[in-house]
Amino acid sequence: MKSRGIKVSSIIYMLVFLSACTQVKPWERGDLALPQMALEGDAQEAGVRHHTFASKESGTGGYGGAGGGCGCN
Amino acid sequence: MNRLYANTLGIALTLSFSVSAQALELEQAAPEFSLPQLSSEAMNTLSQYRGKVIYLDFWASWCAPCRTSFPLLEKLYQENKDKGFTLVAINMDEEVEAANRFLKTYPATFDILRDTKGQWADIYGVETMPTSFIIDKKGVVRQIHSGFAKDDIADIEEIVNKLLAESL
Repeated sequence: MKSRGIKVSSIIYMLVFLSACTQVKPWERGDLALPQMALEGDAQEAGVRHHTFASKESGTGGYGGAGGGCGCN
Repeated sequence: MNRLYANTLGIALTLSFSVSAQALELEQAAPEFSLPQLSSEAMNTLSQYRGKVIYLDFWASWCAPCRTSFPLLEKLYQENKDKGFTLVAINMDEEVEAANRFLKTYPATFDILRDTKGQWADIYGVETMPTSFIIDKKGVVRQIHSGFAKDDIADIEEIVNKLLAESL
């Protein structure tokens, strides 16, 4: 009975959250393009930090984008 | 109960990833748009450019490649406007001020229209900012160009010249 309750409520949640699933059109990405939306505020400083980190820890990656193990650089 | 759960999950996932856009393809007639100008309420339509080679560009002020494209497109326009070429740039900004600020930095003399709701960008099937459609004298889409890099202008110039040489 308990598991049934969980299933029913998760279906309800799923249907509620479904309304948040939408495709952002290419021309609606103006706000996402704002500098304050960048994952790294200062690209140059982030580069230096990652470089220092890589040489200290002998490991790198996991920052998203290229360099995260995509094998492309 | 398990089946209901699985079905609902399946439907939810399908709906969340479904894409409805029907992109415009090469060799199709360019849809006849009607859009207001950036600086006034006057409407411009595609048919008023008919008979010319049209470079139709969807752009926005926040789009970085557009900063590269605008000076190059302005040059292309100036060089070819007397030869039956025209350039129409459709702005996708939500706020008109943002577009005006952009145009102060990157002045343009060609026609700039506004599609705030993205109605025509949807119909044309814009997938990248900027996307441009090169339309021949008969109103057929002959080239679709996604994004913009500095070196792209050579290819664009080539196709524009080729289309200008074609007879109506």
